[in-house]
Amino acid sequence: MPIIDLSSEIFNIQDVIANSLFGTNKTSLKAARVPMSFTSTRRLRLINENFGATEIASVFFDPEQEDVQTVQSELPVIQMGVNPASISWKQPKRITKKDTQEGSIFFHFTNARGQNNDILVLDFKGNTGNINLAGDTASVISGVGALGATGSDTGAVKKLIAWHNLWNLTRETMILDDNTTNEFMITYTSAAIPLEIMLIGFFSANLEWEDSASKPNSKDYSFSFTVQEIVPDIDDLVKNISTFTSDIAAT
Amino acid sequence: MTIVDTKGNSQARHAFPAYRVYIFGVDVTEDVMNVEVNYNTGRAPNTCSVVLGNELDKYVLTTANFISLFGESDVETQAIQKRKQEIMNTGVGEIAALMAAHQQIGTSDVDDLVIERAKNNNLGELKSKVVVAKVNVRSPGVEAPDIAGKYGGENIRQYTADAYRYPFQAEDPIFHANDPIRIFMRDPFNPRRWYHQFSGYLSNFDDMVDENNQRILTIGGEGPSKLLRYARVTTNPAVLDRQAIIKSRDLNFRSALSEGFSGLTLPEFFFTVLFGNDPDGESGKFTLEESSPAAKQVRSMKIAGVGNFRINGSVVVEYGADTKDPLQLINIPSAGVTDLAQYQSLIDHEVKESDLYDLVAEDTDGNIPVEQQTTVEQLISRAKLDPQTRQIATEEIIRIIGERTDLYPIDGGRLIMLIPSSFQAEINRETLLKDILRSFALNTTSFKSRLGLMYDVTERIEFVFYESPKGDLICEFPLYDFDPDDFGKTEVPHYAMKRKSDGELTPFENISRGPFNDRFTVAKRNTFNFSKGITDEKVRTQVTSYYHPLQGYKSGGTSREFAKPEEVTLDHLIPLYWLRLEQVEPKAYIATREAAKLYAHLTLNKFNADARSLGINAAPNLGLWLNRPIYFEPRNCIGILMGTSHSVTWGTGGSMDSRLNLNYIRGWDGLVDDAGNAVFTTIGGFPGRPLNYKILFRLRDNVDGAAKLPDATG
Repeated sequence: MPIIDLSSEIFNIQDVIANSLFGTNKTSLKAARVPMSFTSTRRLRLINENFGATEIASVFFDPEQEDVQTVQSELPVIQMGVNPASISWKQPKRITKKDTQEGSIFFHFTNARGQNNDILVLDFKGNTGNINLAGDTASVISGVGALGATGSDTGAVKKLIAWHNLWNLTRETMILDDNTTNEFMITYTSAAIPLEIMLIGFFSANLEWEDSASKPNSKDYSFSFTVQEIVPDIDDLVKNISTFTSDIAAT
Repeated sequence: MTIVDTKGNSQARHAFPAYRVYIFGVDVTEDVMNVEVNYNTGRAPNTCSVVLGNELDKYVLTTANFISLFGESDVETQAIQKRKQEIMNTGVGEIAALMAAHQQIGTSDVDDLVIERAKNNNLGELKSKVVVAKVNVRSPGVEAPDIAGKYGGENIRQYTADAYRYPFQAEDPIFHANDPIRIFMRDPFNPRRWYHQFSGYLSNFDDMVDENNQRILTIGGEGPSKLLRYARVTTNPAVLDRQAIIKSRDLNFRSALSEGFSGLTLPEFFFTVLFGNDPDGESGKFTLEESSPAAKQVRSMKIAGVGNFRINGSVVVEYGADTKDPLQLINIPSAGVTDLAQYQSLIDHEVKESDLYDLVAEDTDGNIPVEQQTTVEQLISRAKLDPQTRQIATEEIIRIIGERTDLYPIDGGRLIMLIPSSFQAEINRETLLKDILRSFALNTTSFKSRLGLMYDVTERIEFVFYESPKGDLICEFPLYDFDPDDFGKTEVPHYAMKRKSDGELTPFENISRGPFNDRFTVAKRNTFNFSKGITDEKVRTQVTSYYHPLQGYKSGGTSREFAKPEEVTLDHLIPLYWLRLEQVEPKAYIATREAAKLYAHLTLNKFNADARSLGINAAPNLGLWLNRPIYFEPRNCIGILMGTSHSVTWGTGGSMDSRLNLNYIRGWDGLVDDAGNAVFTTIGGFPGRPLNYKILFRLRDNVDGAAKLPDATG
């Protein structure tokens, strides 16, 4: 059972994120890039504490807003400037093979649906993209950089902030002040899953990265995420995608 | 291409373990990481171990929980003080009535407040459910001594007079000692088949938190005979009203001049010890009547029963050839069976719809209230149906039995006894069930638990006493001379003794059980590993017992001077094992030569039973049953199941297995019966164990030692 009540006004993150992904027309596939979003129960509560419900959307999706930058040193919802380059889905089976004196027995540890699936784990690998602050005009607004009086908006500041937030997110507390679990959420979409889904779970490995001279302006990183729940249910995904694609065909 | 074994079965098989665990009527299955149940025929109840993931102290009432429940504001404190004042102004003698009144009318203001908080204060669904059910149950506290004078006494009372039935303390588990536990497991090879695997009481905790904040709560439980361990002859530990069990006449029973239970037959003893004896016949479940001429003193005693065991459904099952002199079982429900399959169906532990009726609790007078049955029918009508059979789903039967501890109490089991209908005239049943038992409890009843007495009695005559996975108490004669096939190769109806007055077992309509012979077989394909041992040191070839023609000399300390020996010798084994003599003498008095001879036979069998032993680690076989002959295919032998356990560790890398401990091993020495079936015998063949129950019951008519050896020419 998810700790977050997705039906509540405050935590109706699905609609908020979906609107940002596709605008009000959710059937659009013309978005050039759909940024992945990362957040947690704790960060969503920060929104509730600092902003009214009507401001949530702007808080989510316009991290350059001055008030956000000043109030929130950490982003409530982290949108990736550069999506992870590789995400591998791994879901082993819960099977134990025991040999007898005449044959073998495969023990299948099944769930309520009779499935012997183990927990889904996603391994993320990516690159920060260009995080060289030099020349990024955005640094003037944010006050982070020093050299940005001239030049173009390279997005370095946004990417750097997003990446640091992601790093922090992977290390965030698992237990909240009220002794409930801090759940982590990722919105996800790709060519394979054109309908946005939300992965709920926890980081099973902190973000690992390498400061390498061979890549002075970008950094490779990786982390793992253990999925406890997918919204909509992964077993219903094919049905939802079918509906989704037929809606597109009709428009 | 399918890879098959030597019998044409696929070598690769699928198994689908599953279990359900209920503690205090709450389903905790989703947090169970490991569950193990253990059964044995020794002097101990069945046990279980349940390992629960205790993430975020799900099963612990934390300090924060405690504060959130009991509050600190002025208003609430006043409410609590008011409640204490109410008690303080009440005479101690009236406190019990006050407490009862509070329970009847619901809860006090304070209780209401606490319950409301338990429901709303984010305890979590499971913790909230348990706390709400327990937190307002109160019982009279201790009447405190006036240790501080006039004022001190009054002050003490406000702290001691009002007690919680389930005392909570911060950072302790939400469960308590003697909370009911029920465990069910699914046959991994047949997912439609579930078994009762444990029914008992919570006995111990281990709350483990490691350096990585991994929290695991391990719970241990013991079977319902745990109650008997704390029951002396005059007391019932399940009765909360201590005044109700102090009876003046009980004191006579404890007199040094009394011989407790002297002269009772085995069924009379067990029914009396479990259900008590009410000579007035005014209340209670059982009365010893004129069945025991030699037990006048016992009959006059008012003995409390133990727990809430059901006399409805309890029965003495007689098996074997009829006797011309039937055992007198006045007022004891009894029934005969024609085969052991019928008997096994009576006690079988596969979950069936009939369990909902067969296990339902009765009241203190031994009657099954009509409203109980109405409730059961309502529960069934609301339950989910199996989509295939359109009958109530098995998981729903489990849920109802697991959750409704009021309808299906742990100590609501039956007493089932399997005794021989007859022995041959020379060593008759009366000798076994009465003479050897006679005055067994001489001078020992003063401070012995009833469970200890039961074990003493059954050990003396080599019967076995154990608990079934459903919670029945079972006493049987040893079945080490029987074969798995004697328990039936086909399904049989579910027989039950539905009411104590029925006089016969009757079947439930459309409910079948078995077949049982497969359950009592361990095939090679189901064997992980095994270890079979032979210990020469444990073999005996001669036993001498003594009988005392004149009662009284034994207690006078001159036993052997007046005792006469009676011996049994296994002559043909002496060349191999030498003459190994053992002298045995029961705790009490054996009066006849026949009884002494039989006692020598019984003890010789017991000595030699352990000479060969077999330990098996096998694929899960949840249908196993204690005191049953188990055919072990890899070593082509049959042994009696003395102990077994089933264990499941869930998840990736998990496993499920059954472990079996067998003794009374019988091997095959080439003997077959008229039907061509192998006949298994102990070391030295039939002469190695002259007291053979199957022969005595005339169920082995077609085998007569070497005379039936197969023709060498085929």
